[in-house]
Amino acid sequence: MIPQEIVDFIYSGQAGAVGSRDENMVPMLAMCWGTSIRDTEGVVITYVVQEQYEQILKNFNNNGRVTVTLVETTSYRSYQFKGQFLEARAMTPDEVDFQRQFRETVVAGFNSGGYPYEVADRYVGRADLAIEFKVEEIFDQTPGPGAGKAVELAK
Amino acid sequence: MAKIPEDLHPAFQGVIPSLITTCSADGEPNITYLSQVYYVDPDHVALSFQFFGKTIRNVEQNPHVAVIVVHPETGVSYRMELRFEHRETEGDTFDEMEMQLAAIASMTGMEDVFKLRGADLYEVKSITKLDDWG
Repeated sequence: MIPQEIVDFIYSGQAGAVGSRDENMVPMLAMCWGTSIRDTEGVVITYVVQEQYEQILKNFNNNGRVTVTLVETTSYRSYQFKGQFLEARAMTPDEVDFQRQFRETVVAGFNSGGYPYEVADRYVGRADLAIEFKVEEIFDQTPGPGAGKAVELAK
Repeated sequence: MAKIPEDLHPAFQGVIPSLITTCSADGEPNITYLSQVYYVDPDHVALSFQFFGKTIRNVEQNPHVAVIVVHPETGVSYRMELRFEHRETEGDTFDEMEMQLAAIASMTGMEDVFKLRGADLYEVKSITKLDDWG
């Protein structure tokens, strides 16, 4: 299971990115905008803009390796989740509401941090696709010499 | 190979942090935030090498990386596919990146953490605009 402090981190509204690679080991990434979990199953669900994921979805279907990094931009605290792709699917109505609230919170945060509203509004994506994957490993990615340390998953 | 257009230059000021993904030789992608993507010329950027972590180990095994930079005046993101060429530990690019990194560290309270060990030069292979506003 995912430790509670990381569950809290996921739901505190962090943006991040999703990474994959193709058969020639060429990596690809795109942003993700809102993340939730089904913790009893160790499944992480992240919300993305589908038109930016053409190559990434091909990669997932070819080799299944998924990496997601979430970051708190004010403190640089960040975690990286690695695992196996399960599916990409349309968002449920509850997820659409969740992502809309996430988006409003993040845009407001950037705006209060000094970014013009128009810039923040365009930066933060309007997700239309849910990507599910089974988490196998979590790493603390907060910058510094200790970055990359594995997080022990709760039994 | 792609050329970096002049109107993309503000995306290299580091106002909004960039992201990088690398891939190990055995096929495991890795993502981390990046303090600096530095414009060198229309065909090249330099990335800051600060820590002996997974990103550097992966680049030593596999020269392909992808980064996302954000234009601070529009909020539009751009994905760049890059290929590692070489590392510089002195010279104009290194010195200018070191000064810029010190400024970024000062603004973010990371003075004790951020230290430039190398300026890693990459060839730009492609640039893709990521913008759900069309």
